[in-house]
Amino acid sequence: MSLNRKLGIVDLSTNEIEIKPIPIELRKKFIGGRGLDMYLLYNHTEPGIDALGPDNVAIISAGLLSATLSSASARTHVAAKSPLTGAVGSTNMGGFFAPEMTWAGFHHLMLRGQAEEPVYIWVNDGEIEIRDASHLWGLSTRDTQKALQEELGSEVQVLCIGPAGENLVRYATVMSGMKNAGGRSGLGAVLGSKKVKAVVARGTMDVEIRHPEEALEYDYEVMKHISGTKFAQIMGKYGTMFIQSVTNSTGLVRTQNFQHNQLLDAEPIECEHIEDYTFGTVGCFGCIIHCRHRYIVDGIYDEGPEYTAQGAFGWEVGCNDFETVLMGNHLVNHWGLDILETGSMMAWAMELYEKGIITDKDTGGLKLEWGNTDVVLELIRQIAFREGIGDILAEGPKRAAAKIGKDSLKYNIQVKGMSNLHSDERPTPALALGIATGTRGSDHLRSRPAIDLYHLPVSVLEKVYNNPVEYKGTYTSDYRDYEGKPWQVIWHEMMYMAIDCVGVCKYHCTFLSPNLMKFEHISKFLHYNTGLELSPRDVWDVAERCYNIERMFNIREKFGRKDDMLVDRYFDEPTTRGLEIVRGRTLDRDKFNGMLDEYYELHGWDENGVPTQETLERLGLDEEPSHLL
Amino acid sequence: MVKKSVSDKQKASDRIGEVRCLNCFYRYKVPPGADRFVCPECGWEWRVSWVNPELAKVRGPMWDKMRF
Ligand code: SF4
Ligand SMILES: [Zn+2]
Repeated sequence: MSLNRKLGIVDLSTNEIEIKPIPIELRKKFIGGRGLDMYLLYNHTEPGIDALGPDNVAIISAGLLSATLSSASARTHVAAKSPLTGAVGSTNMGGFFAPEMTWAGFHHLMLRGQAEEPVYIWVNDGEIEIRDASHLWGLSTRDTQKALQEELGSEVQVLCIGPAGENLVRYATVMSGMKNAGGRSGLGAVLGSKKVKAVVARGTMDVEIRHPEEALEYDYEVMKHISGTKFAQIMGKYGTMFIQSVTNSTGLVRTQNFQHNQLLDAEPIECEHIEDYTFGTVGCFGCIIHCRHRYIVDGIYDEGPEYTAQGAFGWEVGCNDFETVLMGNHLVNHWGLDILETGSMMAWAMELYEKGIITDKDTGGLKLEWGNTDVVLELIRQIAFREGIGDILAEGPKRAAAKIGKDSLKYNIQVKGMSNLHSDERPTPALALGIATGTRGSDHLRSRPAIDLYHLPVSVLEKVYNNPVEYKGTYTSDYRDYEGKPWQVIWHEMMYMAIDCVGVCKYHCTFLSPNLMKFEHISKFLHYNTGLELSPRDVWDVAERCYNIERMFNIREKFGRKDDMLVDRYFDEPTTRGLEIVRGRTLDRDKFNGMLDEYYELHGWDENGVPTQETLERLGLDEEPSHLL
Repeated sequence: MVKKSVSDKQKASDRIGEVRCLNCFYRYKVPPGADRFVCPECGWEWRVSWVNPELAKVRGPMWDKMRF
């Protein structure tokens, strides 16, 4: 049964291992995955700790539906205090690791302390061991996995760090498989600081399904519906790269850091070109969509690329070359770097170079010019290995700006010290509010109401957003409006939190299409598979509780309203390109602040964004930290 | 969950090849196999690609017209 999966606690300083059952009352309040990780993070850390010190914890988890008859329940979540932002660190990846850890008997693994020498953690059929990993230190993510599979058998699933994590690059990833990257928040550096090269799982402990026949039938029905949507068919052919057909064509991407909102003449990096390099698509555990291409470029195999690769190595750095996108994608996967932060930091450095804020003297002679593909690929290497200017860029926006000085920070497109996705939200207030308020920093995966871009009729918006909690406010189809958008952001916060708690891939829920899973589906999947009885409204309440504990973590670390803000360029510099409907636009500062006020009010937070006592009591969080686990 | 898949409904309502103009959001039915169309509502021209013989998507603008 899913509900009997355990928490393993590994103290790397003392080598002590403790295995604990997860109390049912915590399941009812936090479900699992990201939600329960956040409970553990809040309860097992003290404010002000060094994210790269022994007092931080790294929590690795599977969602409650992992390895059940709920398709695409493949996601692994990792949580810690972020060394990039100092805020909540949270990252999520697909692949096969989470189901294997579930079959090994565990849903959550918490690593604390710091090992003296490199280690890996072996999780196998109810047991956990700390093992020597000195032979793996220095290897790429792919070579590490290969070595561990040779050592332990080809069936094991590996989650690991690459050289970037070892070198404490503040946006190093945790990787599994070729491209499953827990990219955001720099949690690869947290594992690196603990000298944990990898966690390896292998399990044969069945997951008993509560109502197997109904579960199978329901899953079939839902997946049949999903596979019939336009969205799933397009995703299955092009992966997330299809998004650029809408965003770059309209003028909704940030180009040359933030100087433009569209890459002109972008035909060479349109998603259709993947046909020349691919030899098929693959999917994560139990997925019917199969959004990743296996491709070959210059004799090198990799998976993807995603929309993020087109942004990072395409329009952000002014490159109009598909092979640079493919190779850049490979290098960040190989060395374990967050693709979004890497692309953003490079684009920022290029703008600083263009403006003379950094010069050849700072770059060791590298010409950081727009569209210089060789420089882009070389910079990725320098960041991963902390060489030359890469050593400064490896520190992330705020620390790197402090080192460079002058007015360099103002050119960085970040929130809470985390760079933004390669999108431009000046014409889209809802998306702007989403990235400003994201708990882990500037982020499209916490709350982005992406369907706002589709100009959906109000009747469809009402159907989506008036459920399971009634919303009587304004609905508007125009993505340039400010009215009604705070509720959309909150609704998606809850949707994405709920799906992260159960460990199902976000592309199966209402994220990029309004026709996909919502709260009632999660409620039913939980009922059929686990026997946990939560109504759609209960699922929402769990999500709200989990989102609030993330917020409480940040408040404890002294984040507040001042940190829910975009950099001045959003308000001061008008967009220069794109269709007329998006050209010449800035965000209106007063209206943006008005949205923020409304967003706080709808959440039950005060004007500084702090949850009120009444809200904490309503959500049963007034006794936190409660130390129940 | 609805019993009928969206692609079934799409066929039923003859929405094969339908795309939306990104400029004015007008729904337009691209003739089978066509690789571009001019929006009858706003006049913007779009290039098109086909995910399968029934499903078209906007591929991008005519880049030479995207000048300011
Ligand atoms: S849609 Fe893509 S990321 Fe999601 S489960 Fe399927 S293959 Fe993995
Ligand atoms: Zn039009």
